[in-house]
Amino acid sequence: MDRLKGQTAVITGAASGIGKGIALAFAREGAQVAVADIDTARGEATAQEIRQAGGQAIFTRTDVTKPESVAKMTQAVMDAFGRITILCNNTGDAVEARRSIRIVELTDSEWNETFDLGLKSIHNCCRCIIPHMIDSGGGSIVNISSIAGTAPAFSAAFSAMKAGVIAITRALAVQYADDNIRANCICPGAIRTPGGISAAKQGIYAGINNDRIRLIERFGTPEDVANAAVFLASEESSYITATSLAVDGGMLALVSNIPPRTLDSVPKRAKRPPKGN
Amino acid sequence: MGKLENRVAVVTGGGSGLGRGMCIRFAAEGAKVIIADLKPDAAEETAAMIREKGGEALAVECNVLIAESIAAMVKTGVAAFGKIDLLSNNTGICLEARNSTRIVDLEEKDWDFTMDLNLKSTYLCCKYVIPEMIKAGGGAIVNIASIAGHKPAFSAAYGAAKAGVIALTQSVAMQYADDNIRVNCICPGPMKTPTGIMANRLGIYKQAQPARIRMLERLGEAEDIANAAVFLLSEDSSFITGTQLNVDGGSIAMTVNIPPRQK
Repeated sequence: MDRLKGQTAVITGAASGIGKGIALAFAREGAQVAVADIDTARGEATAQEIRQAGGQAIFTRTDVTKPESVAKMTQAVMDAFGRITILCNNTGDAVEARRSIRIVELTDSEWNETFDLGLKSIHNCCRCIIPHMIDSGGGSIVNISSIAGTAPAFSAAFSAMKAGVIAITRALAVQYADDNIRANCICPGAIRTPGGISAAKQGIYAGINNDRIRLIERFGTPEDVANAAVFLASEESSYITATSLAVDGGMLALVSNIPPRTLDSVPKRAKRPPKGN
Repeated sequence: MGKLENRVAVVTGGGSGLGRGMCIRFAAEGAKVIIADLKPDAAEETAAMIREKGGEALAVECNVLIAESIAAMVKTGVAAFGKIDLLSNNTGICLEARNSTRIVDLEEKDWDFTMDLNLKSTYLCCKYVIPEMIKAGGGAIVNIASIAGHKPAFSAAYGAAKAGVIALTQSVAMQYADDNIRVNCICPGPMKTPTGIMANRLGIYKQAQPARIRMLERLGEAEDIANAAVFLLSEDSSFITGTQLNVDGGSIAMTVNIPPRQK
């Protein structure tokens, strides 16, 4: 299990949820891991869990919306590990999904927070970390977008922000291709995280008429996303850049219903009445 | 512990190119591999390469355009290894790129052959392998499509066939989701295969400007596809179905030029 041996990874929002899953998986695959999060207690706990399992990890308290905080985090990681080769931009919040907010109700500050945490954070982190990746001869950036960034979704600001994540991923791939830096993103579907579960409770994911909404009948787990992140961070994907990978249980592919196996159980269609006149 | 331990995989077109690359990687990850190829010698050569490394493989002569041939291959494979739970539909050809053929000049038989080898073969192999997967309690399929299937490409029949592979992938994912079968496809970009090299030489991949055409300045290797296929066939991707993964060095995302550095 050494697919990331010799690599040093920064994962933002790694105190919980998907980010934590990614941090644990990266460490299991041999990477040195920096857990960057605003939540000190849970961030420390993630780093501790990695160290207890024999991995290498530090926690650095980071507000990814603040350039100064990200600069400090970067310095702390460089001091601890001497290099950074993997960056996973994972922070984001779906306030609209949690509270079923439509655009008329969406406040200015909610809009700004959504974009600052999900998108501006990528700018902040890339600015500080890409120069270090170049110094170490290249690297891999894995951004966590969402299927909301590619398919119709309820949340307006969140969807626009996540579409932005896909776009910025492609641009990063173009800009730093010659520095041997690859950039890809993952588009998770409904994942069993605090955010995902509250969105589910609000009925955001439910299809009309309670039809099933994905092919694989379960919530995704942070490990599902982490497995994809390991693949995209590792040399196994060295010919893959500027793309996005859906980890959604087939949600995006499910545009029609799955009919029952036998037609016996389907009610017969009523005969169409003859055309009037 | 390999990622495909205790699995039995069928790889069509396993005697050369991307197919051979997948066979070797699958075996290295612990799978028993059924190498289906029209050329028995080529399939046997792949099998020998696997056995040399201590893996298990079976070479089977198979014409993926003929249902009986596929049915027989499946039967032989199951007789040898007891089950089939992985399938890679990998056969394909792009006659148009080889000869720079436009649609007016495209012979009907070349259209038919392109459709058959790229698309009908996928249908037929699914038809005969899926029942075995259901018996085995589930499985995973990875179809080799192409970036030509979802972005403008020179070759008309090939592009249409590969778009068909992507659509078929999504449909089959839906049809057998409840049987615990996942179906995904890989969209390779320019690859270092005979067809890829030929197309490259003919200038198919070049843009109007003398610009580079992908972000990563190399052709893809069989190994690149094999890595992606292992991921999509392994439990690592157990929440991924009905989707497509580009392995193209950033080709399709390359809609602009990369300007020179200012300093």
